[in-house]
Amino acid sequence: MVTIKIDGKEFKVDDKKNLIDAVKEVGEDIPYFCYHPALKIVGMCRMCLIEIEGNPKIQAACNTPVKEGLSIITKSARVKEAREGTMEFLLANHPLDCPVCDKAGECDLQDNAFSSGKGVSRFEFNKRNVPQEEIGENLLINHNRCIVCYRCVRFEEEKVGESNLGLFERGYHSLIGLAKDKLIAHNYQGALSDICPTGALLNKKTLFKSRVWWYKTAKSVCHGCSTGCNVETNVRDNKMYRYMTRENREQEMYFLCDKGRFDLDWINENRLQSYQEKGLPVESSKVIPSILSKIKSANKIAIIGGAHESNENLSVILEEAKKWKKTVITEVRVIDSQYEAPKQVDFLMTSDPHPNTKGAVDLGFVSSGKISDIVTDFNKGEIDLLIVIKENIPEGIQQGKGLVVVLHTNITASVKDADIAVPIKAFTEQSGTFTNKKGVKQEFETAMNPVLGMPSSGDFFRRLSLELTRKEEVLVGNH
Amino acid sequence: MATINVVNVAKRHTFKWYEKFYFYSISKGLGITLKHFIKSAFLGKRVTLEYPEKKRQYSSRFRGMHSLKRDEQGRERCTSCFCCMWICPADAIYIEAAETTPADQHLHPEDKYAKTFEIDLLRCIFCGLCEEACPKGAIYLDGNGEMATDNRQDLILTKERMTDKFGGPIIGQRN
Repeated sequence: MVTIKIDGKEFKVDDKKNLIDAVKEVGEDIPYFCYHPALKIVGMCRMCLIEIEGNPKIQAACNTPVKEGLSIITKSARVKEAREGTMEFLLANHPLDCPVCDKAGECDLQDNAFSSGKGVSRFEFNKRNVPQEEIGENLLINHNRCIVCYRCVRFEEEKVGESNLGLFERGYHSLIGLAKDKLIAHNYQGALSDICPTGALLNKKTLFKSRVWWYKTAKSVCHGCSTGCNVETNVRDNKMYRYMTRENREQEMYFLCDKGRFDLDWINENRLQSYQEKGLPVESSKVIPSILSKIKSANKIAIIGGAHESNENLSVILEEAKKWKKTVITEVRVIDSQYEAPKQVDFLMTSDPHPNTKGAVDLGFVSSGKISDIVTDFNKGEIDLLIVIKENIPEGIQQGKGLVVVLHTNITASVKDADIAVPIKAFTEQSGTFTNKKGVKQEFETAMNPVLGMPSSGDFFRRLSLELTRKEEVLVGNH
Repeated sequence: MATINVVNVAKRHTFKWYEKFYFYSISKGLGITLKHFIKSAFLGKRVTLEYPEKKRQYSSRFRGMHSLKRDEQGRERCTSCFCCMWICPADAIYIEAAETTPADQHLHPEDKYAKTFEIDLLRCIFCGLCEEACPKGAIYLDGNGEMATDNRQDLILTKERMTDKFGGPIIGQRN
């Protein structure tokens, strides 16, 4: 911790941080475009210019090391003039696209132009015009809006590891373009359009769908894999539109891959909203008695799956299953990648597509064998009741050997094959915690409203226990 | 309370000596009636307007039915920026945006246009905020105010009913 002076006031800051971050932590603000905490510093945008006492010229704050006794000025007339000048240069060739640009409302250029720009432009010539083109399977680039901050090229080279983008020409003619002949096809096209401070890089999947000021946000965790990147859910009219990254400095989470970001259609469409018996909708009062009688007469019960459920739901399930006083085998690991330590597919995504495998394993949701043992036991007739929580029915299960109950959020093939299907809330409709592959428990909040009356998986098991232990009233007396 | 420092701010009309006579006051009232009778019976200065043969002339700022303007090349001005939908205090506007294809570049100047543009006239309060908010001069409330129908479906204005059929001035203007 060193002491630095900002505009004459002394502050204690961490000297391992960049000056822009250190200044933001103590409450002051320095505008920037090309600086990003996870990427190399380039100093290309010249927006973070500040005065340093003892230095005759104005310097870029992103490239200034934090040292003891540093004294900077961020509010003088010279700094104001520098910021206005940089803004005027950046806006000189920037098109008047705000009504049609998707980034309006979350655009760094809009925000910084409003706070530190001059308000009038002296550019009276024709602006340069390069047509928009497609550079990825999900990525569009609009060259007119690019301010050449170099964030996209840096991200590709440093984080993703490929080098598809490059900066061509120089000066007035600078263009960011594809360095190879093929379109970009990696898993981070959504992240590229996220870090772009203007609307130059856009997603094709969310193009023109909605304006950002209509979204309600909630803090949440991505469900795509066991890394558990922190996200902010964007919901409008109770439909999930997209995920945005939520920075988590302690965990070094700054980005989001495409698989989690765009895999959201299952939350909005094709939801299971009624109990089903062999694929046909039915009332719960008709199917719950058959489950209860099976529990009462069962030798062994198996509960598999559950890696999509929150820790709170899983603890309720284990608690209620103990009350049944039967042998209950629980197994959360249904696919091979859950048995071993998670392997990275690329720098964020792991091979395990479940968000809470480690949480379930920590709570004791494991058996001594593997899923294939449970399948053989079921086919032999030793396990009478198989409850599957939001997974596919395991291969090799023979129909008719026992009762198969599937708890799911969507209408899938396993729901249609199951003897009884139970609708449950998706994780966005409840709050809870997920434990990621590193063992960190991360909270997520309720983002949307569920259909009224929809139980969560914990609620369903509680209802089963309640009905099991309910005593019939015995009427005594003459009647 | 003791009434001190009371100032009389309203003086009642006190009758003068000639106004106290009965016939004087009556004839004064009758004279007003006679004046209005002569005006409407003989001089033709009636207030009633014979609608629909004669219609009232409204000011240039009168807010009537909505219309979507075109520019001087016949292209639609609306680029579906959602400004009017955002500012509408009654949530009467519903817009869906779509990307312009090369096939209809002659209709749309920019790469975004309004695929659906509906105004629910039963919600609209005709405040004119959408006209003020539009950055392209696309929507104006310059139609007439006669919008009566006999079913609810006709009162949801679609884009076809609202769009001007031909081009307009360089800067979008009211009629």
